[in-house]
Amino acid sequence: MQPSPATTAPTPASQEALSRLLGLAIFGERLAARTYNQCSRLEPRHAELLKRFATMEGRHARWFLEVSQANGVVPDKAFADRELGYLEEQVDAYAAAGDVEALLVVQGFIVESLAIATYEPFLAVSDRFVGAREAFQKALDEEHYHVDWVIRYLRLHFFDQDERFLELARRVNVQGVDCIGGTLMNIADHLDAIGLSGADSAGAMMDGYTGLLERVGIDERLATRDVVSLFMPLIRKYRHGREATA
Amino acid sequence: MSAPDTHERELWALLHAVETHTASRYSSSAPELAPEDREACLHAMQTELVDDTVLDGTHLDAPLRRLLAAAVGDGSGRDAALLQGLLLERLGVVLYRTLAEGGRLSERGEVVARRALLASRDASGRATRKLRAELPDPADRFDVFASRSTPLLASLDAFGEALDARFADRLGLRFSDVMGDFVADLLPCCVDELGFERRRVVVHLTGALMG
Repeated sequence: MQPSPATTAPTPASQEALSRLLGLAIFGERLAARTYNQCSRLEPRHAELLKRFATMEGRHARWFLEVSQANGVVPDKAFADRELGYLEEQVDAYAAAGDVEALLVVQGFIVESLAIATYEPFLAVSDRFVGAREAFQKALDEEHYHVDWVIRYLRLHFFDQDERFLELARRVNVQGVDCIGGTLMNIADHLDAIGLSGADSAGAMMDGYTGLLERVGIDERLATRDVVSLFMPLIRKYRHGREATA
Repeated sequence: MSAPDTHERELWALLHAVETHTASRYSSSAPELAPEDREACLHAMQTELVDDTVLDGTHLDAPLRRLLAAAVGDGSGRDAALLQGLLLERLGVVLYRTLAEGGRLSERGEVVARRALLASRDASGRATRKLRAELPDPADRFDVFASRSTPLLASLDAFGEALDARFADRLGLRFSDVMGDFVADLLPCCVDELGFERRRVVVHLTGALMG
């Protein structure tokens, strides 16, 4: 991929934020690749497609690494490991239990919602970083492609079984929203530092994920209520953390 | 349960304080928003359920003061429709509905909760109509909503611990669930009746709550 030129010089604060954000994006994409590979083993009918998703996620990680290198940013692996450890635990538990439905909700809906809610607004400032626009635009398009497939899979899988899907979503949400939503709150200030809005991304993730649950068949009110209720402790924790350091 | 206990009396004192403040705002700026049964509800709360001193010195006292200060707005009828009518009445709907359906109130409390629920529904409908009439352009309406509602929404956070500590086990009111219900009730009104874009409303609410 030919990198686009940077239009303005980054500040030290934005470089540090970028180091953490790119670290999370790179290692998060690698984890996503691993998760789709686990899905492919558990869902043989769609193994080839899911392996292809895994390859695409791995490619996103490589693009983002190239963006890091082009901008002189060292991805913060320690930060990414801390943020992703809880998710990895959840993914491994579902894989060990052979629970591909739960894996697809956590990866295909919750994690992808976080990616979309951050990559999409990042495009508006991406020209400040060498090569970022192309990498994030292509990755974003492919994340939408994954989400579209997961919606179709879950709609078919839970056709006329809305209650069973609601049970699954509620089971996965408790840890999944706590984990992924918590990560979003932990990067909110870094998003602010590179000219985005952490609050806008948090709202976009909440609304995006709620919309995905609705598209599979959960009533709008129920989906909103459940997702907002689970986000509230994270929002309050973020707010109180900021107040404590102000 | 025949008589309200301490927890229920605290809750009624809280609700009564907000309702009284709301009634005063309507009376001074937007009398057309006041539901017909509101005065009777307030009277029933005052005479049968509320001990005005019960909140003094509790963890609910400071959040209540903060909420009421944020709910004054600029004193206009439009702010009354937005802050009291759209937001606080809808919060009232969520609280009264949860209480009325929860089976944990005293007998008298349950009767009052059902009446107050109808009054809050009535008032929130009036407020929506007033906002539509005064701000015919949905884009202007959203700008006013976003610029005027932030302090009130931000003030709700202060109730988190106190609400859970005092009312979660006994009355089934948990802050996160109340807020989840509140947003779930508010969104269809904002989108279907006020013409706002859903994503923008969610982003605004999230930002206000994050502080």
